[in-house]
Amino acid sequence: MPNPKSFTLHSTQAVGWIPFFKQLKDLPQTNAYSDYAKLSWKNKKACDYLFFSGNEPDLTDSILSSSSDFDKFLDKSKNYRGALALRNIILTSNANNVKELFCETLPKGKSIGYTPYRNLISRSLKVFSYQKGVGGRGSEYEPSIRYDETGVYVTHTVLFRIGHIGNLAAKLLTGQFAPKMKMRVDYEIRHDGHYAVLFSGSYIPNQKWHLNGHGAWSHDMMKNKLHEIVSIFNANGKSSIAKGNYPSHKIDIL
Amino acid sequence: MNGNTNTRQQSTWAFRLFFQALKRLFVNNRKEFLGQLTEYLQSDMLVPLTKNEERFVHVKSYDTRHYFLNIEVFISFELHKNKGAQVVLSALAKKAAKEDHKYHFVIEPGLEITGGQLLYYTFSNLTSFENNRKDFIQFIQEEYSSIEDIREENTYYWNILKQSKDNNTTSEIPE
Repeated sequence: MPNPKSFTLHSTQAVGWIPFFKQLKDLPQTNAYSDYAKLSWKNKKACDYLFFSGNEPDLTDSILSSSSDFDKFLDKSKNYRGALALRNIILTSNANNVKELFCETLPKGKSIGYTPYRNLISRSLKVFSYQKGVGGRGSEYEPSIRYDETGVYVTHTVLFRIGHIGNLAAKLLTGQFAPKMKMRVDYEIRHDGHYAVLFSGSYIPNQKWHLNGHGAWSHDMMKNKLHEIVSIFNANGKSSIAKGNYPSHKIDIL
Repeated sequence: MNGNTNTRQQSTWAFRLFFQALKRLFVNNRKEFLGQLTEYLQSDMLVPLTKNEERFVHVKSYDTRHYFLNIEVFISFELHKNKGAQVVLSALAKKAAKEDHKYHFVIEPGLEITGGQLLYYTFSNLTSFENNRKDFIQFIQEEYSSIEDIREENTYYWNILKQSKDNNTTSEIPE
């Protein structure tokens, strides 16, 4: 009986956060959020609350490069909105075409980050409370796997809310429920041993993606276009998870 | 003399009232809230998704956090068509610490395994238990993704990978 072949894939680690701006006038000169804010009072409030509840991330590339440092960061720091990891991925081919796949995600609940609460009236920079998610809510899809004629596919997704004032308060003040954000990773391991990794995430928040300990992709939400911002804020907590409506990046590993 | 006694009595009453208010806020309210929540989480917890569809909540882990002004109970749970086993919350709290984020799949050609949705929610005694319960149901209705939805989404993204197989758009190869 042949020995099983074992194949270790590159790990993915990613984090998402909202950049902090004390006031809308502090936003960079060229950005579509200012244009969105000009459309209505509610839009202006939504943008204002979003950036005033921004994170001041104490995140370095070296933290994302190591799984133990990343875990420590998620345990201690409250300056992230959402996080994802798919690591220690080992694919084993046994006899009779049976394959075994081992993988790890983040410990349960760690993928949901925090919203910093500051004093909206005094506009103080001091954070008086960090709330997990918006009202501590979100979800994740546990890994899915498919084995077909092309190869083996593996995926993992996390979903979380962003906002300043909680879901119901967001609805009252801005007319919209807090938008639902997403980060997702897909692996395609072909029969010839080549594999590809596809990172996808919602237009908001900022994201940094590391593969095998190296920076692989990042998304800067300040570069979003007006229609992308509209699609997020008008999703009303639901349709923002529509498939395909996301920036993504594919990497081939030969 | 009488004036001093009256002032002392008033101070004592004021202190008692203040102490009672604090006790109500920090002790009784928390106990009552935790009692209601425990009872709720240990009930069948059937949540309506639409007019014709409903799901049972299966609580997977439970974590109580005590803050100066309030308490929060963070739970993870799944939604199923069938009723779950009766939960013992203290045991669940211990279970949450286990390494249940490690996966092992055995798969044959043509097979697909779709991972389910694990949801997270935080109850807080800053609002009434009834408000928490209503908000919890609303959250489930907004957040729920069926296995069919997840499978459809997986197919969409895996097709992107399949279609771009011969059309490499990226040359970055991390060492």
